[in-house]
Amino acid sequence: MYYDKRKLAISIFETIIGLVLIVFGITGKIDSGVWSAVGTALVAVGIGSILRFVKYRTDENYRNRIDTEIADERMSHLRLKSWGIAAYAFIIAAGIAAIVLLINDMRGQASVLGYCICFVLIVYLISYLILQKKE
Amino acid sequence: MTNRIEELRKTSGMTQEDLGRKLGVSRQTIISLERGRYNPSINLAYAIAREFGLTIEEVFIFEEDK
Repeated sequence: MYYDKRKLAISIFETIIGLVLIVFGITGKIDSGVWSAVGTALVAVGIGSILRFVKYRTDENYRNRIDTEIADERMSHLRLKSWGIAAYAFIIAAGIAAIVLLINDMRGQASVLGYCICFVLIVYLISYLILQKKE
Repeated sequence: MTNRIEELRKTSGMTQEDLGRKLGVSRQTIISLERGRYNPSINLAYAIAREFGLTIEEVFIFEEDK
């Protein structure tokens, strides 16, 4: 079963966090522009997930379709391939952005991007070493 | 690698959706398999062959790269 109570709890938590950020933004406790937008996005994602959970529990055809797609090996293969492409794209984009920031003498931001690239590469290396032993 | 999945499916009178449901995969996966765009895992290949009462070699034709 894909949509279980744990996923519902996470969706409810996302929605609550989003509402809290919106309220804090409106009341001026935090910068209203950015954090209200983040809060709105979290609320939208949370409510969308809750609605999908309800549909999954009530609509048998939808439930069968989702369960089949999750178990489908080609879909798993496509998801992994897409994550790989996203990781490559992130590293290239972050690298270019870091160089542009350095040229514009924004060393702090460039360093943060550099650390993000290093983090992704380290996670890749560790994952590869672990999977090499296990599989 | 080519295969006879479409031919065997039509001979059995099954739709792509029927075959997908029996194998536990989506209709899109059946379409990709029939068009040769996706090569199945050994488990799925075995399940497909068993569904048609054939061996893997009778369903999938491996072609050497030239």
